[in-house]
Amino acid sequence: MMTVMRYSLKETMRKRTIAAAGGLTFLFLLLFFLFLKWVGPPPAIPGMVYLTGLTYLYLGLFAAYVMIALFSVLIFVATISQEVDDGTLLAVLPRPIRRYQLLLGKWSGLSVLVLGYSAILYFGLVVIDQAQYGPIVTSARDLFLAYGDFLLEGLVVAAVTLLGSTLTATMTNGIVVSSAVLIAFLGGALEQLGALTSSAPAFTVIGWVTSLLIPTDALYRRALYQLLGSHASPDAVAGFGPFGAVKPPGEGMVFYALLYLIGMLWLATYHFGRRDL
Amino acid sequence: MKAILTLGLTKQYRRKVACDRVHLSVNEGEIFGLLGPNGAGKSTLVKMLVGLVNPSAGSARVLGFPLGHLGARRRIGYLPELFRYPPWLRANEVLDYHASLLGFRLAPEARDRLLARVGLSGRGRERVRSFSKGMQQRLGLAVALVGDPDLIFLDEPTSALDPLGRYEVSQLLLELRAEGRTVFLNSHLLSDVEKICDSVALIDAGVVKFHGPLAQALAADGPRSYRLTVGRLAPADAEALRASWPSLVVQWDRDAEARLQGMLSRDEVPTLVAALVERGARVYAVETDETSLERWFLHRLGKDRA
Repeated sequence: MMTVMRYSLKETMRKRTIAAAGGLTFLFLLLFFLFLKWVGPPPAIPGMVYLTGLTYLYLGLFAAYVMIALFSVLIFVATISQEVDDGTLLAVLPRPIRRYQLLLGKWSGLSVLVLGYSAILYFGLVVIDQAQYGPIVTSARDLFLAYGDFLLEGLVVAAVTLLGSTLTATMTNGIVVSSAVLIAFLGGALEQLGALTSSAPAFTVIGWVTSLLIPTDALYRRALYQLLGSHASPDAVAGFGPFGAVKPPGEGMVFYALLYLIGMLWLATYHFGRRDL
Repeated sequence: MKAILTLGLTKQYRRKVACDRVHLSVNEGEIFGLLGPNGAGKSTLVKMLVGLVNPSAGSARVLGFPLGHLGARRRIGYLPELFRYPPWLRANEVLDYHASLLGFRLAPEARDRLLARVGLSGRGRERVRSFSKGMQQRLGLAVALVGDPDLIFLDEPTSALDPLGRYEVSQLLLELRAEGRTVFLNSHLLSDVEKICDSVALIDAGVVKFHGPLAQALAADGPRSYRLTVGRLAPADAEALRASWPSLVVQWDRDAEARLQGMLSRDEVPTLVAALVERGARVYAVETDETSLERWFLHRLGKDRA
């Protein structure tokens, strides 16, 4: 398993995946930094600096949510399907290695990238935002708990994409998982709107259903909530509408996401283990 | 001891039966040739034996282990028919990767020896993406030999090679047999199979039509088309020969050489040559378009299908 993990990482380096992702992430953070510089400081009204900093941080984190999901999809989308199509796996699998070891080796290797990518993106945004507007997130614990949610989001997408890669063609897999993440976001947005207006309970149900299908949006909302911890002003959070976390998921959702992740990996290994190549 | 023993090995894909109750045995230390037309189920059979495809029914033992057992997979090498190594890896790294999967580290000298054995000396540092199809096939052979396997499965190992490459691979397979290894060869190149295989099996539509020593297959050979190039043959003698071999057609060319063509059995050839020499003719060449195995292959398939 370690061999497969090592070679998966080597592959991303050889294909310049890390260089490309790193370069574009740096560019994104640079643009975020320049954007905050050009926007300039807010009017000198009490609480306005905090609110402005929070708004731009939420904006950046929404982009990070989408980018982490996309990164995970793109890096995992061809993991198995492409290697089956190319015949690369035909030479590898007769070796004394179990199929689940190969699959988990690939998942572990590429997950290291998801971990690094999400860390750079998330902490980069927080640091740039706080450098401009002062302390928005005051607790290191909250900061890391929120990062945990972002990381788990990436790993969940990775596991689903890996499962898709054992089931279907590369392009189909990419389209299905990307769409699922988008649908989860829309479901989550509807749930937030439902919580704000309290007029349509069906919105909450939709949010629940989409979160159960793929809990990426729930993790994102929870990260937003975790980030502010007890400092969150309900009014301020409500102001973000469908992009906020006025009704954040509880700890149960994190456990569900972890179970979901393990379940997806189990399904991937189960299906791949029985598949004729 | 048998290197491979299959008992009613069957693979069914929905309504299509790729392999139907295949009973085969391959002795240790021999080169075994699996023959059959396209879509006969040869690759499926090989894939079942190396653990890539799960059988629908039946059982098999490879090197004494049940199918898919890690104990067998530590001692086999496999060159798939359609494959590609990661283009971003160097040839040396491909070998290292496979050695790691086998649980050991390949020494640089061993790596060089493997590459030299398949005609890729000095190419170890080159990326796979720069390799031609033939070179990739050679690399595939080297990969199949990583870990000194006792049993080597080769699925169309020479399909991308030039005549020199084909010759070299044939020699390599003979070397492997001399080292006591078993080779399971799946090939359409019957002339190569005929030269190196000890036993063969013919499979068609998933069913084994013949399984036995190559000599036994060739012994069942029927008449086939021969061409003889003959000098100093008198037309009257040619007519006399035609009385004995009615299938003979005689054509005369400008320098009075005769070309005789006809359907002859293997034993009739020396008799005809002797008859020609007796009449003062000079036999310059005896040729046939088909190898014995080709003839047998076509004959068997044609007969069975008819």
